[in-house]
Amino acid sequence: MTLATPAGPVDGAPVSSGASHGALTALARVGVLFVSALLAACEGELSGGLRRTAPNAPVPVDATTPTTQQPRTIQLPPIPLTDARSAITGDEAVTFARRVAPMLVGRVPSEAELATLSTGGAGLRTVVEAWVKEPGFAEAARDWISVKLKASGTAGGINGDLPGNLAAFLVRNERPHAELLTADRCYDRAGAPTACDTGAPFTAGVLTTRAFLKNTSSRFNLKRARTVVKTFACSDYPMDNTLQPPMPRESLIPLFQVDRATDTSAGTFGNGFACYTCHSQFSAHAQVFVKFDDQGRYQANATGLQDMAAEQGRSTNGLFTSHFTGAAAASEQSQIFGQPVQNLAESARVIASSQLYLECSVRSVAGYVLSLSETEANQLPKPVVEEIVGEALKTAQQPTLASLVVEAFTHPSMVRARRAQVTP
Amino acid sequence: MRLALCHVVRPVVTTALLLLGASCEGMATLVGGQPEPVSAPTPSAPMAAAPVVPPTVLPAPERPEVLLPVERLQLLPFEVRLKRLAAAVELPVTDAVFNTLRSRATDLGAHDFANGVAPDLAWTAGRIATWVEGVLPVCADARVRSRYATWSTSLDIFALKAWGRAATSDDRADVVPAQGLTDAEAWRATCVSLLSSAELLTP
Repeated sequence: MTLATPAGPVDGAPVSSGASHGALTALARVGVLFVSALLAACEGELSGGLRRTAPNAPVPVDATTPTTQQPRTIQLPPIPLTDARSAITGDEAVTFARRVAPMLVGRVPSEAELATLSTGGAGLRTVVEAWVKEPGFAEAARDWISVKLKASGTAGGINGDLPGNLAAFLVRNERPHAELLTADRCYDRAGAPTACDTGAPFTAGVLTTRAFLKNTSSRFNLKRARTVVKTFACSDYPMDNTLQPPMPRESLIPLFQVDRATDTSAGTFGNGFACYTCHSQFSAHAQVFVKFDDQGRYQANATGLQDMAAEQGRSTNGLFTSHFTGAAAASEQSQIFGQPVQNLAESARVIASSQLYLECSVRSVAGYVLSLSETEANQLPKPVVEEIVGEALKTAQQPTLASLVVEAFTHPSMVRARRAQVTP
Repeated sequence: MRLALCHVVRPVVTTALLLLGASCEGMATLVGGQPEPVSAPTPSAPMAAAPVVPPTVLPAPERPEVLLPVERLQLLPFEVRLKRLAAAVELPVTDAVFNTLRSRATDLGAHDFANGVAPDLAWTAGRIATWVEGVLPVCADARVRSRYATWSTSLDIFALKAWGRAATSDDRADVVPAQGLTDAEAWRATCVSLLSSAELLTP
């Protein structure tokens, strides 16, 4: 039996040091870790604060022979975030703030703010905390969501500003960011409540606006489903089965039951995966849109059945075909991330309450401010994004966008982010 | 299985604590992950176990570095550009002097998705020309002219409001009036240049 020594960062170790690591601090950490490793093994908690040794990790300690002469390696935990923030220099804070201020608040730092920023990490936090209370930040949130959902302006009786209006309202009123997907009403540009425009008997924030639904209408409701998971969970199909369990093959229409032959990489679809791999997940997420037509209007009597006179994926009356057979085709009941839901509103609540949603929001808003593509934003280091969300969750169970932004734009890794250089 | 293991490990923990205490003196000299030899146990420290090799302590890991893609010259969103321009000349963003720019919003990259216009933040030659056209009324405005009567003396104020920093010697060198221009022409040329500078219009 081999007991792994901690090979990676160890969270939660009681460390009280400042930015400089004194000898006593090092001693304290080593002592805590060494004992913790042994106790954790006994309690079977290696997966918590400690991690199993990777194949190329330092030589493990044999727990049954503690007096072994094999060398052991102990990894000190990362510097506490508060200390790392304090280590941000005045120059770093000023440079970073000048870079992000126009996108966050629509202006450059004032002379007074520059003086505060020049004090370093603490000053940066003071300034960013003040920024997220400004009207300019609400306008940034409006533009961010408008661009993400490709919704602005008005045409054909559809108000494309509703998603952006909701984002701005939530920021101005310090409402939880989750309400972007769960709000029970829409708002006009000035922030006055107004009915959402789909005619559905439920609301799901920006998802129940005709602007979103019309923009994303497509056969089998595929674009709606994919836009939701890409925009609000930073995921795509096929996704991990632990995140979205596949729907049973026999529940799908024959088209989507087809899968790759076991003896060859060639499938009938030509990409090696045929249909079932992705559509067993698409099906669950698309189903909650089955009663929304191509103009974003709710039609209670939608059947989800294929219109035999139309192209594949289209139902009658501007609606779209369900993935499912039988009575399930017309039902809005489905599941998302493994949880059963009654309709789009419940589906939105599941998404908005997931860790993925908060992490994705951090990636998305960072991408907006730093001019990153969606792919680039999704490549931001996961530990950094997790730490940002973790900090926001310490202050509120349902963080606001403002708190996510404060944590993101004062995080040392973000402040010190560097640009790749052009290679000749 | 777990119980059996624990029976083995509990005594190990006790031993480990003893060993840890014995090695503290050596450990205390660890600074910045530089391990130093541990002094051998003294006769007064009873140690029944075999000699122990102290653990190597790796320094605290750095947080992951965020590496961003190569910087691309990309305009700020149109509304943000307008706000920065207004702040630079100290006029409200709703002032009529900006109407020419507003009327060309979509030409300047603003989005109107409902009517099929996506944001376009490329700083193209055509867009530069359109911006300059829109800035001409601003530079002709008497309020702006009086606020920045001479660029050489007011550049510090302008830099702070427009760029969020102090003016540099390079900035000052750039506003030396071109030869052959009247004072008014030179002032306007500088004004248009400053209000169309990439530093004002890009992040």
